Amino acid sequence: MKYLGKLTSQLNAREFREISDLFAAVFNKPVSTEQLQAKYRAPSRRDSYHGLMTDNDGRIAGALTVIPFDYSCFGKKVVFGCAVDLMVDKKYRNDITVMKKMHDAVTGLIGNGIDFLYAVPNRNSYLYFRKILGWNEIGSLNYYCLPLHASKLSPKLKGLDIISRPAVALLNGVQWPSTGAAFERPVAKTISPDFLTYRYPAGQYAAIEKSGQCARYSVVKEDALTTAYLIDVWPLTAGWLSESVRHIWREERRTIDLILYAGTGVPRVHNLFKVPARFEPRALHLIGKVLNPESINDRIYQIKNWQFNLSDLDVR
Amino acid sequence: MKNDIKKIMASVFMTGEKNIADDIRQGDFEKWDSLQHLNLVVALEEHYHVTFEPAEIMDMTDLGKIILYLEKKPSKQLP
Repeated sequence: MKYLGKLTSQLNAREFREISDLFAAVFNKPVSTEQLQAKYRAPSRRDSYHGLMTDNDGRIAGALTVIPFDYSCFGKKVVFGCAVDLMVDKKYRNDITVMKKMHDAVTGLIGNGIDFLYAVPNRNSYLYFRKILGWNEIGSLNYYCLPLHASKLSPKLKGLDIISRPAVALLNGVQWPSTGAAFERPVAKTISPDFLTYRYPAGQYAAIEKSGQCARYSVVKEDALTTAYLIDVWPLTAGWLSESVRHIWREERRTIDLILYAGTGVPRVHNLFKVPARFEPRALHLIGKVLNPESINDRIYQIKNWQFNLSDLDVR
Repeated sequence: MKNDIKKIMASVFMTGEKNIADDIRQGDFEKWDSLQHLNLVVALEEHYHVTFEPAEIMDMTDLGKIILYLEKKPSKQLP
C-alpha cells in the first residue's frame, strides 16, 4: 500500500473513476465522476486536497478529501477546510493506521494552504477523527422543524396528524412581527458569488429573496418522508427565518411532510420548533483541528462562536 | 484485570467470553476490525476512567498490550 497527497487538478479520469467506485461501495450510494469533480472543485475554482491510499495494483482503496472555503474568524479572513468522504475499502479496514496515514498525506499536501479543518462526520468516522486523528469536539448542531405530517416522523405521533396541518396553517397564516437584529457570531463562512454558484447548482435548490435577504432550500424525498431542508438563511434574523419558513410552507405544503433546519444559535421563531435530542435523526457533532495556530486560537473550539448550518457542509 | 478486559472485549465484539483467548490479536480475530477497535477503546476508557493517546490506541493490537497500557496509566485513574 502507498499513501500520497494529490490536488483535484492532479487526479486523472481513472483516479476519479476509482474514487467514484470506492464511494459507491463504502456509502452504498452511487456518485458519478462528474458529481465528484463538481464537488471537489471548490469555490473560485480552487483545488481540493486528497489524501489517498493505493493498493498493490495501484488502485485507489482509501481517500480523505478536504475542500477549502473562505471564512471569517474573529475579524480575520481565513481558509477553512471541510473534511469529507473519508472512505477505506473493506479489505483494509482492519488496519487502524490507514486513516492516520491518509490524514498525514492530506495535511502534508495542504501545508500552509488551510488554517483550520472541520467536519461533521457520521458516528463511525467520528471515532476515527476524535480518537486517532486527535480532532477536537466543538459542539453539536441543533435541529429545528415544522412538522406538517406528524405521524411520518414517528408512528407514536399519529394522533397529532388531525391537528398538525391546521396548526401549521395557523402558525404560518399570520405574519408575526419580526424583531431582533441579525444573529452574528465571530466564526462564519464568507458568502461570495463564487460560493453561491458552487454550493447551489442551478436546478437543485430553490431560492427565496426579498429586499437583500436570502435563503436556499431543497426538497428531498427519502423513503416515505418528504422533507424541505432549509439550508441557509441570511441575514439570520428571527423575522427573515420565520418568513423563509412561511414561504416554503406556502410553496411546498401539498407535497412535504416536514420543514427542517439544522444549525447553531437559531433565534426563536413561532413557526419552527427545536427538536428534542431523542427525536433527532442523527447527532451532528461539529469537530475540528487547528492547522495554523498563528491565525486560529482555541476559541474556535467553542460552539457559541460559530454560525454554522447545512450550507457549511456537503450534504443536502 | 485480564478477565475484566476479556469481558469487555466479548461485549464489544458481541461474542462469548470463551472466544476471547489470552493471546487474542487484532489481525487474527475477524470481529476485531478498526471500528470495533475504537469501540473497544471507548468501552475501556469508560470502564477504567482513563484516556488513551492516539499512538497508544494504534498500538493496542493484542490483549497483552492493552493490559500494559492500562497498567501504565496513573493509579488514580484506575478503580
